Amino acid sequence: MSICELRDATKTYGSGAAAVHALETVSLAFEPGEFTAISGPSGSGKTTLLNLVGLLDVPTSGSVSLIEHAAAGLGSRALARLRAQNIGFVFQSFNLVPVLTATENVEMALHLAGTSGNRRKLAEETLAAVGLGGMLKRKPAELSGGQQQRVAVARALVKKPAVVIADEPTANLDSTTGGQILDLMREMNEERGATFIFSTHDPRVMARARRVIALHDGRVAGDEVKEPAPDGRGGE
Amino acid sequence: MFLFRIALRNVLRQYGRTSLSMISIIVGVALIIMGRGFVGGGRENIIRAQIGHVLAVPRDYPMSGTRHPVDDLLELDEATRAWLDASTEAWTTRTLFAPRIVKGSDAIRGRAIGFHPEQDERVFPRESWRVTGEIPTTAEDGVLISRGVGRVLDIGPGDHLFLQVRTADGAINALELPVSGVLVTGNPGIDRIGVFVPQALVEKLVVTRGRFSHLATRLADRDDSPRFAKELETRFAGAASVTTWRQETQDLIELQRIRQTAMDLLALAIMAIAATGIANTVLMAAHERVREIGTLRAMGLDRRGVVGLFVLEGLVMGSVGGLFGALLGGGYNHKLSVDGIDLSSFIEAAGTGGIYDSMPMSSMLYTESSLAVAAGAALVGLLVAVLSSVYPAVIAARRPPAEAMRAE
Repeated sequence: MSICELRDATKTYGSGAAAVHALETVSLAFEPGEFTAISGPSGSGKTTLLNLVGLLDVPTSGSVSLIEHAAAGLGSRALARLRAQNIGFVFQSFNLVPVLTATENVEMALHLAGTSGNRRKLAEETLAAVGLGGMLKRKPAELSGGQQQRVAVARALVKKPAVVIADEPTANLDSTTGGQILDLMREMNEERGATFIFSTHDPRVMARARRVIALHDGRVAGDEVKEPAPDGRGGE
Repeated sequence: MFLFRIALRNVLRQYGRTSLSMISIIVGVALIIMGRGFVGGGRENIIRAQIGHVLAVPRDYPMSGTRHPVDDLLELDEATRAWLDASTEAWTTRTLFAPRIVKGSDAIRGRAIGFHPEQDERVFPRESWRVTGEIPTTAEDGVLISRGVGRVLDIGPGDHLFLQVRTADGAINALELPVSGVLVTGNPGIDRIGVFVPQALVEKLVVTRGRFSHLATRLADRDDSPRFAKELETRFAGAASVTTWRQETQDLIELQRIRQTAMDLLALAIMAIAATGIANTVLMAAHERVREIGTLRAMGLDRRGVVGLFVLEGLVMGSVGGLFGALLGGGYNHKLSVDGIDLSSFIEAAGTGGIYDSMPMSSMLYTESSLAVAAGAALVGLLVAVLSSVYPAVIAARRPPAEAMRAE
């Protein structure tokens, strides 16, 4: 069963002569445990695709569904609830809340997902798992770019989401730190079985993905599965 | 709770900007409290000075000018005295008369106030009195003269003067009396020509036989004055004209009402500035934090949550501003309600024949301190802050998360 599915999804911005077709009749399915890279040059539709998969946007035509919930027809509150409980996000610019500590940033995801129990403890454990056990009380401004992105990964993973969407997660990091973040994501994918879908135009990052979907001018130009997911699904 | 934590820290993050907005709330709230305090205090000032809560004088008694007839005085039977004891916090009688005050070859027409030394202060507090010498308590002590009388006749404590009067029976009478002290009240009507005479001396001079020209009362609840006045009028069986503090101070209350409206308008204007400031602060915060809001929405915060976050920031500013405004305004107002404000320089500047001359007011103004007014004003500040943050909050929440995430 697919975790996320797009059927003939089209996204058009503007109308008439000024219309921009960011995605055109894209059909894709993502299985649990995948570690998938969306590649393509700037303007190829990577972010638009991730926005649709992440339920941040709705397609102009076609359909998007997440764990069998069709996005079409859902109100903004229902979409927000679906995102809160099922999707983790990692952004290119980290996007941590600057007034909160690392722990609080991670705890916030649990709060929004409505997770009960000891949220503080869970947040601290997740931060320890991404190697930030000693920086729990630091605010984003007191962390390096790589450390901030680790917090973002912890924030995305703490609620055990169905899928983690990462939009160019290594683009704002140097190659070493970017490599470490990718290692971390892969480790979380293998150890926790977390599904990752991330965009990149860096060939070195693409080389680490198990599945690479190439976009060009809003269309799927290639979909290559290089190795099976840890649980055996998603292979060729 | 989590949103509140974020809101609180966001307010602290922009403390310079938010401080400015909060200062307007503080000033507005403090102004409301002070304005109400002054208006309430103004009323109390008049009550304390010469009227009390309910005043009874002989029917057709002249309430202005310096004519104080003693030919038609009031008297109290035992039953009414007992009723007054039971129904009032304090009561006293005074007898006003117009003696000729003579020292050697100099003489002036004065305004004498016959008073009961023990009872009088309970109805007419003397915080504003400045006395050189002593306040007389017995007939032997003599009289307390006003500064004006002392200056004109060049006399002071220890000197003697003559009081020449027409008695209640119409005869001429005079006594040589010692001056026990010199008094300044701040009320020009008294300070120019006033003489305070103990009731025992009034008996000897005017031969009142226990009768009096003024009955003044202080009630536990001044709003009970109309009912009390009606009952008192019935007891005097038409012989007395009975008025409440509200009736006696009608003109001044009107003036106070205009002042209060002006003060309220000023507070309103400052609150409007505060509202604009807060709306601007929240709007700027919303613009600066578009990506942050986009992130929160991506993570599952719905529109209502975003509105709640910004309104909470307004709430924090309003609470702090309202609290500090209430503490500042309420605290200073309370201080003035205890220490008072000395108005003597204003009253003296208005001079003889000025607007204060015919007003029975004291030179010390004590503001009215009320916890309810302070709480109400703080609540107004809070509401202004919350309401003014709603619009920018809605603007911030309206932006779709994907669009917000693209913002630079």
